[in-house]
Amino acid sequence: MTNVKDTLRAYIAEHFDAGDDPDFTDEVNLFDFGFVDSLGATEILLYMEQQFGVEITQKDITMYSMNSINEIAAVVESKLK
Amino acid sequence: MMMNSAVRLLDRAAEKWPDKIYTDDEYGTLTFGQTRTMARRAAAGLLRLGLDTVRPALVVLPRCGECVACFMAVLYTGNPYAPAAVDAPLSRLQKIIQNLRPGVVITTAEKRGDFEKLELYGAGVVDWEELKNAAPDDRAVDARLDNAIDTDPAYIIYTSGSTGTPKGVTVAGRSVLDYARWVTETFSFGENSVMGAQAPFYFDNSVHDIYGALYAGARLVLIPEKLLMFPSKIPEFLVEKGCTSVFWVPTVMINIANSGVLGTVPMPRLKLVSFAGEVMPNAPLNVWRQAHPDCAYANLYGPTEITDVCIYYVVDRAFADSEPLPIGRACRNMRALILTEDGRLAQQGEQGEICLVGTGVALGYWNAPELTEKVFVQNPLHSRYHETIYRSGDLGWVNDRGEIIYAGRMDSQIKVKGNRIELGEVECAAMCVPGVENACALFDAGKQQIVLAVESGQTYTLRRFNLEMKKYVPAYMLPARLEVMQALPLNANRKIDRVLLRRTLLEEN
Repeated sequence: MTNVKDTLRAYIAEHFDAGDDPDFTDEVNLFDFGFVDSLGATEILLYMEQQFGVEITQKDITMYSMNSINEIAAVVESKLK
Repeated sequence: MMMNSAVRLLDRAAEKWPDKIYTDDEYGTLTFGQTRTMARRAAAGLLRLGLDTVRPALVVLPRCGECVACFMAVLYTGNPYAPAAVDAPLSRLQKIIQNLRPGVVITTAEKRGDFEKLELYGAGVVDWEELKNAAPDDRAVDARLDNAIDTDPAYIIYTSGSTGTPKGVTVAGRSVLDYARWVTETFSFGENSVMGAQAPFYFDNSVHDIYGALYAGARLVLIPEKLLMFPSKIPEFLVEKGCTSVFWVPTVMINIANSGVLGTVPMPRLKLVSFAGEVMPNAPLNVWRQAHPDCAYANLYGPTEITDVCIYYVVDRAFADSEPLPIGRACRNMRALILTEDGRLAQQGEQGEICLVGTGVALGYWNAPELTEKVFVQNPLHSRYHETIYRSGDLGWVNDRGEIIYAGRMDSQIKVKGNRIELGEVECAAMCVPGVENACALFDAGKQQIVLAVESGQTYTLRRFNLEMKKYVPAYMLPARLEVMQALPLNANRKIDRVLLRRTLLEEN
């Protein structure tokens, strides 16, 4: 199975021009550090839903913190189990 | 009950509906009764600390029902509250504190340390968790409240200032009481209403939500801020919460319309969609109207200086995508005057400045008499008695149906995602970034974003530049585009040539 975190990291690196930025880590808050804006957040969600065939609900968004690669990947992974 | 303070609405609601849920947020719910108990305990705690009148409280708490209880606690002590965002930059909080001179700062245990770094001019910092559990003392609270009069200030909301210092709009209890009643009666809110709300509490749209629900006995559902990042998920949230109405800024509606979700999630309970804070284009509104034709749509207009809303329009006919949506007619106890440059009443179809008279007009800017005198002025149409009007700086004209049409600003104030921004404040922040010699902020109306030109010998990436900017201004004031120049162009008066910059950077002619 494709690794969720790798897929996510590669997508953000390519689509948000973040690849070689030293601040771009799995822990960094993508929004606070300006890598992703609100339109980008929706794109990332849609991409992950399509790639892994999962649905991320409004409850997931409200309940969990989804600001970093680690955090978003954790929510997607929990749906795959 | 003597309505001498806005907080009397809480006493009344708690008597009528003690066990009914008032606030519903991402952390839980609070009934009207629980909110009053919590607020009265906290008020007793504040009085025990010796909080005198009129000493405002700066409230820096997450947006939730307990924060509403905290506002009410401050009102119980006969004082106004001033809300600020928990993620506000410290330098901006310092400017607010310097102007506000609060009697107390109420915040969370984890934020307390931040305030130790600031000059508080003697104000104490109180942990809300401790305050809300203070021993009750209704006799002391009632004694203080009995002395309140409805022209006392109820809240102070800070808005962007062109010199870089935020202005504290000060609103009286009477204005809040009258507005709450207008909201309830105009939109038929009642005990069975479930009001979805998007506005942060430091934004005056929240007055509609907090006091409208309090007056009507309605449930107030606070849409979590992080959900706004995912507009396609918002309809699902409104359905699950059973919202019968929602109030937000047009940007949120536009994002939802653009996400393509409309029409895929039935929202049978939703009967009213209200919006305010910026211009609502008809194209996305038409997407909404087609997907949800049974909803009423209300366009609300009002500067912070007028207790949220003073002119409104409930959509009653079809509009082409390219037509402007009217802002409509004045609310009850408010009058809108369209004044021309030479100080007379504009004729129908003639453009002028939108000026406002009535109960909603604020008391002025806190601790800033000179700023207040500039825009809160005697009605120029007569001198028979004192009648203060507020000069909004907004332009408008009246169509042949008697509806006011908004026509832009007279100055460099802009709106981004419903947030009111003075470009001067953006420039002040940019000048604080190391290496910046000069700065000019422009608004790209087509893209609805801020473009910043800076004079510097250094190079920056937009992302890193904005990380510096965030030390001084909220995230909504950050530029979407940065142009670094060796020298900013100057005009004949040796001022920055904004016209030339606009032409070269914004592809305008």
